[in-house]
Parts: sequence; structure tokens; C-alpha cells
Amino acid sequence: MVGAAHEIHLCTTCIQQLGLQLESGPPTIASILSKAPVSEESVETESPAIASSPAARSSARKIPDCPTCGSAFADFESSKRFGCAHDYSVWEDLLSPLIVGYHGVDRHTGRRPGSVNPRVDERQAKRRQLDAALRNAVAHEDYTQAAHLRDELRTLDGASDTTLKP
Amino acid sequence: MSRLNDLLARPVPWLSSPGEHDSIVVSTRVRLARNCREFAFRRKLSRHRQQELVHHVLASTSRLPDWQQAHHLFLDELDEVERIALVERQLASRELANGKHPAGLSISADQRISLMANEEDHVRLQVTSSGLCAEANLTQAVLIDQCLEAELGWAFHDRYGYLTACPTNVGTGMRISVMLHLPALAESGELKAALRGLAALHFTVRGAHGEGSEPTGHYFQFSNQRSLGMTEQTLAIEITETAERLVAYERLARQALLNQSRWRLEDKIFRAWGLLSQSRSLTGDEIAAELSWIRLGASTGILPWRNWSVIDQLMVHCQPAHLQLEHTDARDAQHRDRLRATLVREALATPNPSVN
Repeated sequence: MVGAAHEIHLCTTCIQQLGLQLESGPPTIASILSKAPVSEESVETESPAIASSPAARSSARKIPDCPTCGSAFADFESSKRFGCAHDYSVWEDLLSPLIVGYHGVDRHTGRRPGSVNPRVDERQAKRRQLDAALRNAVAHEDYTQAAHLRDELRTLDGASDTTLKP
Repeated sequence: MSRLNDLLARPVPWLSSPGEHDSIVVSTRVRLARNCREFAFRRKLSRHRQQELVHHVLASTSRLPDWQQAHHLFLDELDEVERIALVERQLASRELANGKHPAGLSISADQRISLMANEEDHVRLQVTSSGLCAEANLTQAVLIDQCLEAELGWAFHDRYGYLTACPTNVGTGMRISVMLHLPALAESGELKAALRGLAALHFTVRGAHGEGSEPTGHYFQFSNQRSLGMTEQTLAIEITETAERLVAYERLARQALLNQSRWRLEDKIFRAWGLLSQSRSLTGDEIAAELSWIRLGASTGILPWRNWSVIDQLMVHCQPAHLQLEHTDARDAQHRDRLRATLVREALATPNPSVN
């Protein structure tokens, strides 16, 4: 009956078969309901037979839940929030269109943990700062300051005749 | 007596006008979002595990090199007013301050760097400085990121990069924001056109207090919308170049106003001066709006008074939580409005700092 509460008692065998994890505390209602049959009949049972229908439903939908945190893809779709980092691996290809839709691409090209990352080139950053300050000085007709900044840029570049943009 | 007294006593470090760029660029912030591999994201964590996470993160930040004088705060030890004061200083987000989750906050001694534990992501690190300095802030953020990574173990995916609770932050996990003061563009009606170009570059624009805030006092914050598919350095350079373009537009708009209707500009500035130096009651919005004119007046030289540090500090210390923590008679809005007016009158009576 719609609106009636369904009470499900699960033994540890069933929990395992359903792929629910207890690592993060008791399974959420959402994660259990996503595996439960939608029929209006009562589902009170401790029989392992019940395990076959959620499994069948899962494979019919073809989107696996995250085995680490129990999140269903539907959870993510409604909340736009993941349950754990592993979700990205479980749903890797499914996520691509959504990620492309937001970021324009679906591949990371920036820094990575652990590797010897090219640090932000401090010299390049300093050069940009001096460049901007020089343009600023010229705009304000502060030619004394501009000359000073030009000299700093030359020192930075280390070359004797660096051509500077006006 | 607040736990935050010594923290609040220090001036806000990234407010140090006029700086460069004729005080048009107020500040730059680089933010990195990171999550620890061994914990699920917040919505799947029990309260107990969230507390473990917060302690775990703060234990690591307390071991950062040169962070011996840092503040490490557990948010449930602070009352609502103290939390809001942290938001007013932009050390914590509204989400962190208003949330009911266990949360922590580490703040560097100079208050330029803060790290939130258990906000939407496990760790949100932000480095803020006055002026335009995305690359310098990035360098600093990267150094801290590398230190913490060794202890905390970031969740990372070969294809999608640093993993975050919301896919809008995935990849570099980085958001760079620049806060600009654009009174001339706003007054001349050219602001919309200038900002329209930003959307095409995938930058978003908000009011000064981030998400959900209205632009008050001609302050605007723009930041990158996308965080995946570029290197961190490229993003820093793009933001810097965009900010410089906006600075140039604002300079042109100021010049045009000065050339074509200087009297109108002077009138606005001196009206603001009149209101602030004589008023007996001022709301927070009024202060933001009028101080904006004072700032413009000081920057253009129209106003002979240019005590920049006073202007900056008024912006923070006249906000509601700061008033409540620093004055005993600031409990309701009416009292705060009157207190504000008193503080501002006193502040404007401070003479210019002596030359050099």
C-alpha cells in the first residue's frame, strides 16, 4: 500500500549480497531503497531469496552502486554531490558528458600528487609583475620609475640587450 | 571576552590600499579543494567520522612548517557571532560558519592563509593577498598542498584529477578570485558590457561577499567557473590578464568621468564625505556605498583626505559581528547603526598619515 512503512530486516549475509557497506555507519535509506523492489507488497523477509530481485533490478538498470560508500547514481543525479571519491571510478564513463558539459573537457592536465611538479616559475611571475608595473608607470608618465623597472627587468633577464615591449 | 580577541585585533592583511593599480584591485584569493582518500565525502560520513576527519586535518595543519603561531579552531567551540566575524574577515565561508557539521579552521599567524576542515570538501585551503598576485598566491598554496598531501593522502583520479564532492570543482580543485573596485564603470553604465566579456571566458562575477551576495559599494569579485582541463599556472595567468583588462577599463572610465563631468563626481564624493562625517546612524549597506566614494575620492586625488588604512579597517570593523564582539552596546541593529556612525565620524577626523 502506498504510504505504508516497509520494514526490512537484513542479516549480514544479505547485506553482503546486496553489496551494502557498513564502513560509514548503517546503510542509508536511499541506498537500501534503491535496491529494494518497488512493488507495493510487503517486503518483510529474512530469506536470501530477496537478494535476487534487487540484483536483477540493478542489472536491469545497469548502473552499479558504489561498493565503497553505497551511493546510487540516482543519489548523485538528484543531489549533484558524490558520496565518496571512488564514485568517480565506478561511474567514470557515465560522468564524462556531465563533466564536459560543465568544464568543456573531461581530462585533467594540471598538477598531480607526488610527482615532481613544475613549480610556478617564480622568475616568470616576477617578470610579469615588473612588466605590469612598467606599463603602469608609463601610463602615469612616471618615467623615472619606468626606467628603474626597465633596469630591473634587464637584470632579471640576465641579457645585455633585451628588447622590451613599450 | 572572545577567544578570537587577538585574532580580531590584527588588521585584515589583504586590505592594504591603495596598493598598485590605483586601488582598483582590492585582493586576490587562490583556493584549493582537496579530499582525503580514506574518508568518504561529508554526506556519507557519520558525525563521529566527521569529527575524526576534522581532528585528523587540524593535526596535520598544526605541523606545517612556520605555522607555530597559527590559530586552530574547532567551530563548535565558537558562538554564532564569532563564526560570523570569521566570515566577515573572509577567513571562513558562510557554509562553514552556518553549518551544523563538525568543522575546523586553521588560520596562519598573518591571517593571509586559512584552511577549512569539513566544509563541502574535506579541506579548503585559501591564500589571500592584497592587490593582484594570483601567481604568488598559487606558489604559496602549492607549497602547503604538497606538505599536507604527504600526511593526508589526497583523493586523485588519473583522468579527472583531484576529486571533489561536487563535480564543478574537480580537476585542479582551484578557484581564483579577484576583488575589484569599479565605481566609474558602474556609474557610467559600462559595467555590464565589461562584465559580459567575462562570461564568455567562463568567469563568474559576484558581489564582494561571494555566493548569494549583491554587489554593494561597487565591489565585484570575479573568479573562474571551470577547474578542469587547464594547468594551474595558465589559470593564474588568464585571471591576471583579465583583471588587468578590467583595471584598464576602469581607469578609462574614471578619466572620462573626470574629463566630462568632474563636478558630478566631486558631488558624489563630497556628499559621501558629508554623510559619513555628520551622520548619527548608518547601516552596513550605507557604509559600503559611501566608503566606496571615499575610496574613489582618495584614489583620484579629489579628496584631500586619504587615510587608506582607516578606510580599509572601517570596512571590516563596522560589520555586524565585529561590532558585537568589540563593543558591548552593539546588541541590536539600531545600536549598531548608531555605533557605526560614531566610529566613522571619529575615523574621518583622523588626519592623513604623515608623508612617507
